[in-house]
Amino acid sequence: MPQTPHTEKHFTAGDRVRDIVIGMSDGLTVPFALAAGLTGAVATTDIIVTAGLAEIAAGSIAMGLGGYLAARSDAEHYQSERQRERREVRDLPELEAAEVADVFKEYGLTEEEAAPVVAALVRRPEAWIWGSRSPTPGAPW
Amino acid sequence: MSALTIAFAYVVGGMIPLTPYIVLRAVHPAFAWSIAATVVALWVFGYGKGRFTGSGPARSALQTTLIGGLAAAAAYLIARIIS
Repeated sequence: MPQTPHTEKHFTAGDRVRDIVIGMSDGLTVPFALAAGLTGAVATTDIIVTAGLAEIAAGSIAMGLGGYLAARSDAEHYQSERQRERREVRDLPELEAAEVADVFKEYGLTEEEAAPVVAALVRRPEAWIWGSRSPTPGAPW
Repeated sequence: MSALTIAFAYVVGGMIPLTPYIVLRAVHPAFAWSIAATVVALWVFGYGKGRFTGSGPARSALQTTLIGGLAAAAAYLIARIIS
């Protein structure tokens, strides 16, 4: 058996491919359904072409702007969450430390196991802020 | 940038089922070509998506094709029933 290093296969394709997938999955489905529906109702291709082009124009604008706005509001939400965490770490460190300990307990760690990790994070405020809440930035939905 | 990519992908996807209606004058041959082209495109697109996302390509291809086919079949049947 060939010796290949184990690489984890996550979603590595990047934002561009994600955007293409979002646009094309609807772009293939909705105009197709519209054309099929009109085929069942009208007798000329002119109407179908006109309606189809109108739908593609409207759909691409709505999908494009919708995706853009969703991604932007996600990023803004992430930024504001991060600022809130930064404030909390500064003003209420005990509460935040307890919050982090709770997260580890949810993963099944005992109090004794979690304590050194929490203590280590308290010594590194920047890492603590990153880890204390983890919204998923970049996901457009 | 994201918005432009999504919009462009939508236009490319949308032109596939529509092109036969532009090229051909009669509705029903256009419909047949539209179905053929779109089913192939949905299959290829689903396959590629499955490869990129790491879930099974064949499964993804089948799923994408079935969803697209179901949506179009629903639209066609509703239009036939009403008109």
